[in-house]
Amino acid sequence: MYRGSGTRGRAPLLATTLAAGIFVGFVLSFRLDEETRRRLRKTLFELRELPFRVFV
Amino acid sequence: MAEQYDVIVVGAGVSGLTAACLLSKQGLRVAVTERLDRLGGCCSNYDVKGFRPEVGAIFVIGHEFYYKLFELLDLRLEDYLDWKVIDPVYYVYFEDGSSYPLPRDIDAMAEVVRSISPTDVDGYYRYCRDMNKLFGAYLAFLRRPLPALQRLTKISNLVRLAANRELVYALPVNLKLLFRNMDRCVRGYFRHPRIQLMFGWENLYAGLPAHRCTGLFTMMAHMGRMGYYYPKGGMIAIPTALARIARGFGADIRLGAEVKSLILRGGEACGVRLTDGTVLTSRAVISTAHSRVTYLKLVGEDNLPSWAVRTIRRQPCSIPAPLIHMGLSRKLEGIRAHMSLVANPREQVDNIWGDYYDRGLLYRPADGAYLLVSPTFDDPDLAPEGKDVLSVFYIAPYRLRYHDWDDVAEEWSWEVIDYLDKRCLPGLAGMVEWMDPVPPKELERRLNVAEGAFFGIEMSLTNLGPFRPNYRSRLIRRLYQAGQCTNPGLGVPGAMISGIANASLVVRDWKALST
Ligand SMILES: Cc1cc2nc3c(=O)[nH]c(=O)nc-3n(C[C@H](O)[C@H](O)[C@H](O)COP(=O)(O)OP(=O)(O)OC[C@H]3O[C@@H](n4cnc5c(N)ncnc54)[C@H](O)[C@@H]3O)c2cc1C
Repeated sequence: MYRGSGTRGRAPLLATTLAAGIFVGFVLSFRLDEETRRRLRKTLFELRELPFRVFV
Repeated sequence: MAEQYDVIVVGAGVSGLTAACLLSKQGLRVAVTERLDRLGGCCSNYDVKGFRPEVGAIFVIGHEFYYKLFELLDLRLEDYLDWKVIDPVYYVYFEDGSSYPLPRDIDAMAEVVRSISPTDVDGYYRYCRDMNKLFGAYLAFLRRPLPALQRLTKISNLVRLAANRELVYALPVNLKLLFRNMDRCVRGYFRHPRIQLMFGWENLYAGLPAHRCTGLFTMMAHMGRMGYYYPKGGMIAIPTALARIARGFGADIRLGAEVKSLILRGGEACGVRLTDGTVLTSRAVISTAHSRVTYLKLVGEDNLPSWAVRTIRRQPCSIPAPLIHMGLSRKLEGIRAHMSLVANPREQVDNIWGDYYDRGLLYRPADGAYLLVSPTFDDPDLAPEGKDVLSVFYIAPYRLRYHDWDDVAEEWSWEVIDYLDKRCLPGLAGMVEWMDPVPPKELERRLNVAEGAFFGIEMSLTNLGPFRPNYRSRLIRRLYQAGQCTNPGLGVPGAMISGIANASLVVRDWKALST
């Protein structure tokens, strides 16, 4: 049977690591103080907006 | 019948008038429409019973840029503006009742440092050396002759203009400041908390606590030593001079002429409609209003893609600059400088952000920091004979969590006045003949500046350079944008630069615009 090599073969591992990262990040975010959480939210917001700002 | 122009400029603030001067000098027919009955927008003075406080900008910073503009106009600045250097740069009132002038002279300032903390004198001279390196690069840049207007905004010309030996020499200091926060930078030079406060409070202009503000703001304390200036007649003298020049070149400047909407044809801006119904047509429109006003009101949400409406609406404004203006029945003896800082220990000033500002709360007057501005210190004619003008800047959010500004501004302002009376200006409360509280909401109403913002859009890395609204709009053809919401932002020189860049682009594009 054909077994994928390279990136394709590692996809499940990558996906699991990513999911674990998101989960750990989510849990850790509950332990952050209000100021850090606010800064994190602001950074994520700014990153999302950046590409659109270039076209205004 | 519509009146025809080559270019229409919306707004007679510094950026609009700069563009109007340069374009009319090139022989274009320019109309400037201003909604207020007064020139200057945020850089102006208003008049109540002979008291003439500043509306916004309080002093000239980066005066070298003003000379550059006059160089482009082939005129002599001295023929239009009469200004004097501000000295002492500031006066500082500490919480224990002691107070110190911060003189302009470098060695005189060293003596002030010595009187508080002799061990900080070495650090002070190290600080001056570093800052002189930075300003060396800046001055070398400004000493170079500018290319012709048509070629000014070409990237290759800009790079050539900026490249200089001093810049390389100043690079290490530049990088050190850029990658450290202001708190760390100031602590690197000074040990005594009071000296740290004297050289490290300008983060208030950035609207951030010192530990979150870029170290580059450390250089602001040195800028005053390079020279802050104040024009005779108040800050309105600057737009008045520019309007005189623009009119001399044939520009038509209309006050009390509010633009209701841009006229669009096939997605291109081809004129404006005023609120009184007048229609002016043109080949290009330069808007200097806040980007939210330009796009969401003048262009109209229906004429924009929905992602653009969302982006423009969400782009954060810089902090607001709430003010209290006062006309005083007598000269205020306690005032010893044009600008005075009334501050608490540094940590307490920094806590304003976390404890109050970010939570939408107003602080108790005793917990705050205030910048007192006395324009009559350098120009007594800004008040009736024997009387005085005083303005107070404070830090407060645009939106209050539990109150409406309209309900609390007056009462809060009186509390601040009482506090200043007790703390450092005895007799102040009894001398107030006229008082005008201008919270952020009121500044927004008066100047059409979204959220009453100090510098239009937030001055942060993600809102600078390509992330600030473009000079040449990418959404509407033939629409150009100047002013504090565009690059580089930060005050009157920034507005001038954007006006110069707009004029330069319009001249470069003129062939295409004429078809
Ligand atoms: C409180 C405060 C203090 C400041 N202190 C300083 C300082 O000390 N030094 C310094 O260098 N800078 C300072 N600044 C910043 C400086 O004042 C501004 O960056 C600069 O004046 C902006 O000029 P501008 O032309 O971009 O905008 P504006 O001055 O806002 O001009 C825009 C003009 O457009 C007009 N307008 C808006 N909508 C319409 C419409 N629909 N139709 C017609 N006209 C319209 C407005 O009335 C306004 O006159 C301060 C700003 C504030 C608010």
